[in-house]
Amino acid sequence: MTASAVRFQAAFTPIVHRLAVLLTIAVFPLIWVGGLVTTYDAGMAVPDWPGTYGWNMFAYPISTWLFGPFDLLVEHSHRLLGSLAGFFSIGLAMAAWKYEERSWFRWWCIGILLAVVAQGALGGARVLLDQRTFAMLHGCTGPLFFALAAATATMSSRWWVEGAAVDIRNSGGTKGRLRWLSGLILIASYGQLVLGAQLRHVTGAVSHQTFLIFVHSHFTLAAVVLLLAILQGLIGSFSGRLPTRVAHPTKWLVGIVFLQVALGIGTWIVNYALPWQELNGWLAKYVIVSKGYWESMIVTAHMATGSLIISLATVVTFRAWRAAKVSNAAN
Amino acid sequence: MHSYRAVLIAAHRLMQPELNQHHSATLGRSNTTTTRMFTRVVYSLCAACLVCGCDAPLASFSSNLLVANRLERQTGLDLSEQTEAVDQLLEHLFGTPESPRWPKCLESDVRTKSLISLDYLAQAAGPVRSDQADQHFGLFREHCVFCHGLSGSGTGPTSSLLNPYPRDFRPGVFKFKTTGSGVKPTKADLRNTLVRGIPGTSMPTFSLLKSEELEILTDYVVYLAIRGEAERRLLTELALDMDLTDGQPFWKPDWESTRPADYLAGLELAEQITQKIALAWAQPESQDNLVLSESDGIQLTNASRELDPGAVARGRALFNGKIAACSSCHGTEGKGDGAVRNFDFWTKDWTDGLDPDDREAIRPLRKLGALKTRPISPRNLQLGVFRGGSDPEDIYLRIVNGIDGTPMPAAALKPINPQGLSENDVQDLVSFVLSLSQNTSLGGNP
Ligand code: HEC
Ligand code: HEC
Repeated sequence: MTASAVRFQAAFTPIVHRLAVLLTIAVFPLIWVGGLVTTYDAGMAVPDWPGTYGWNMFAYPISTWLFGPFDLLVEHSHRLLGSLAGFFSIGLAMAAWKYEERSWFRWWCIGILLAVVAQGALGGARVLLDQRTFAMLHGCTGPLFFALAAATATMSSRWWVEGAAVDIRNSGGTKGRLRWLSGLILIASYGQLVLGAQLRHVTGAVSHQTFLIFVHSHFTLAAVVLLLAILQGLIGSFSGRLPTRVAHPTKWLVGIVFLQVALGIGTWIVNYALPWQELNGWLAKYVIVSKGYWESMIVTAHMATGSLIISLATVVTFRAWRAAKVSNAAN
Repeated sequence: MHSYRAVLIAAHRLMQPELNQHHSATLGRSNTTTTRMFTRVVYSLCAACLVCGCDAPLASFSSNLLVANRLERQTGLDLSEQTEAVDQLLEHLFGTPESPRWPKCLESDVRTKSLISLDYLAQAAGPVRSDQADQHFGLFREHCVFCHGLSGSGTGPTSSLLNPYPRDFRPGVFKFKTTGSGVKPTKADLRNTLVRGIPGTSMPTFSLLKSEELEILTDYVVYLAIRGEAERRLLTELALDMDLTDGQPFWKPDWESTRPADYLAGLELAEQITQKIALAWAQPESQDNLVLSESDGIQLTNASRELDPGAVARGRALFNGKIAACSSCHGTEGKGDGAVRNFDFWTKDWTDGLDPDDREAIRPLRKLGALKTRPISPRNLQLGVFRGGSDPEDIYLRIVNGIDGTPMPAAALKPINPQGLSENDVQDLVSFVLSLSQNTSLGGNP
């Protein structure tokens, strides 16, 4: 091992990594249920916050929560899952403070805790002020937190702190282009998510002209993300020299972007029906079912997959940068 | 409005840092950082709010600028003052999207009193929320506003993406109903549309909603339709029949004390118009007792319809014949390829006097919020997708009553028109129309 490589090493702290992974895993269902809140327009199914109909959130009767109105189930579950993410973040911050050697990373974990508090407060503000604009902001920052959690899991991993050098030696270095590309995908897909949030959180005050601009932008950026992902996939598979920990999530990323395009088309159909109904009798028979199960699932899946793309792109980007840095230092 | 104030107050506090400083000076040191942190969070919230804007207020219905513009073109008058006056007068009568009202003149008349329920009206309007008993409020904004728009103008945010465009409720014209040509739909008809959805269009089915919620939404559609029609009739009356040469508004809310006679005159005019419209809604005669059966050449079974080949052949002849002349629009094979370019009532309503295909002429109206003009085509009957329902009874009603607001005419019928179609003829036409989307060997070929 070269002297310069040693500089990147810190002791791997399993507890911090495990908590970060746990947090990341917990945030995904949180985002799903949060998406359902929007899909079912259930944001105001509980009028108070942080309490639930005057109850302490954790003491709210299980019977009404689970077997009461569906909107209440969705909204209250979202709050409980949010608290769970909060508890994991507290645990993460405490563990990092106690065991983590890298001081910047300790502060990073404190930042995670603050971020989760801010996100919760934003959700609360949405309810207390009954502002759809806040719901939209909350919907945009949620996936950002998901990405932060994934980044935390990445940077606390064994590969990151000690294994990267070995992985890179085995694969023979990394392509610089890839990290820029995945960074671009990250930015573009986040822009895409923000545009999507404008479409989802539309109110009766938005003009059809404005809405159309958002729709066109969402389409255009979708094409950009898709192209970038294909490019990323090509570089990833043809260069053949990616560290496995970069190559692997890259494949997933590309696959999921394709899935997302399909879900996007599905979302269009279950919201606005087929654009060319007269083409085919069988397709023309389709009638949108308002608040239907499949309709809601497809739309929500489109939203959740969007945040999954952002998190995966974050992981790829962070790992690619790390790999490049380690291999530069090793040369 | 309340939420607006809360944000404004928060923003106000931020702009006066001494307020916050004074507050934190009394606290301990660690609290100072917490306060600062909190301030920052609120600050970024407000910054985000400035960037994106808080919820734009949905406090009032938008005025029907397209009809006003058409009347201005027709009369050469400037109606901007009157449009505003009409808005105010309508708000007086019908309230706002936040707190709608049922005009007093309708409540005091037994025929129109029970047309809609006041509780339903309140529950349909306002912002979306729900409670522990699963009562939903703001139902129109939860389910309809994205397409139909806050005032039922059919120009909601998503409208430009949809084909056909969402219905503009304001002229009070509806397509799929059991009543005669030009007659208002029954509430049951509207409710039926909500349950069924409109296949082949973006109009969803709301069959998963609770029965009461459907009633509520139906009432709200009637409310918006009556309000919208009162608006356009009032504007028309003002533009065509009143002397407006002095350019003064014809009514102002504050005239109640200063010019009581004019105040009452304006109010009375609006009430008369409203009453007339509401009466048309009160008891439209429905033909929904119609039942077609085997003896009519149509046999309904669970699996499929069996059509009498004889009826289908007669129907085909009528379809292509001179009297029914269906093929002149729908084409001889019913593919919907027979007609000349045409537009529906909702487009012609505002393009009156202009060429709907002339983009330059249309441009100023597009700026007022009009959707791009789109021609209407006769249905391709081979698809077997019937927007108003595909039961033989539904098709029967479409043929005898036509489809309001579209070129599809009501057929000429026998006693009134000696050359017209008999009841049996219409039934044969129904059989033929249904056969077009079935196995063609059933008489599809002559
Ligand atoms: C996704 C868009 C969309 C939504 C949401 C929607 N509609 Fe519609 N609606 C349409 C379209 C499009 C049409 C026009 C269909 C046609 O012309 O054949 C329509 C037509 C109608 C009609 C007229 C039917 C007729 O006979 O002319 C009524 C009434 C109606 N909608 C009520 C509602 C109500 C009430 C809601 C909310 C519960 C609602 N719609 C939600 C798109 C929508
Ligand atoms: C002047 C042109 C014209 C003529 C003549 C005409 N139609 Fe139509 N028809 C239309 C148009 C336009 C529509 C589509 C209306 C709409 O947008 O819903 C239509 C729709 C229909 C539908 C579909 C109803 C639904 O629920 O979707 C049927 C069935 C139909 N026509 C049958 C007939 C028959 C039978 C005749 C002859 C008696 C006839 N039409 C004559 C123009 C015409």
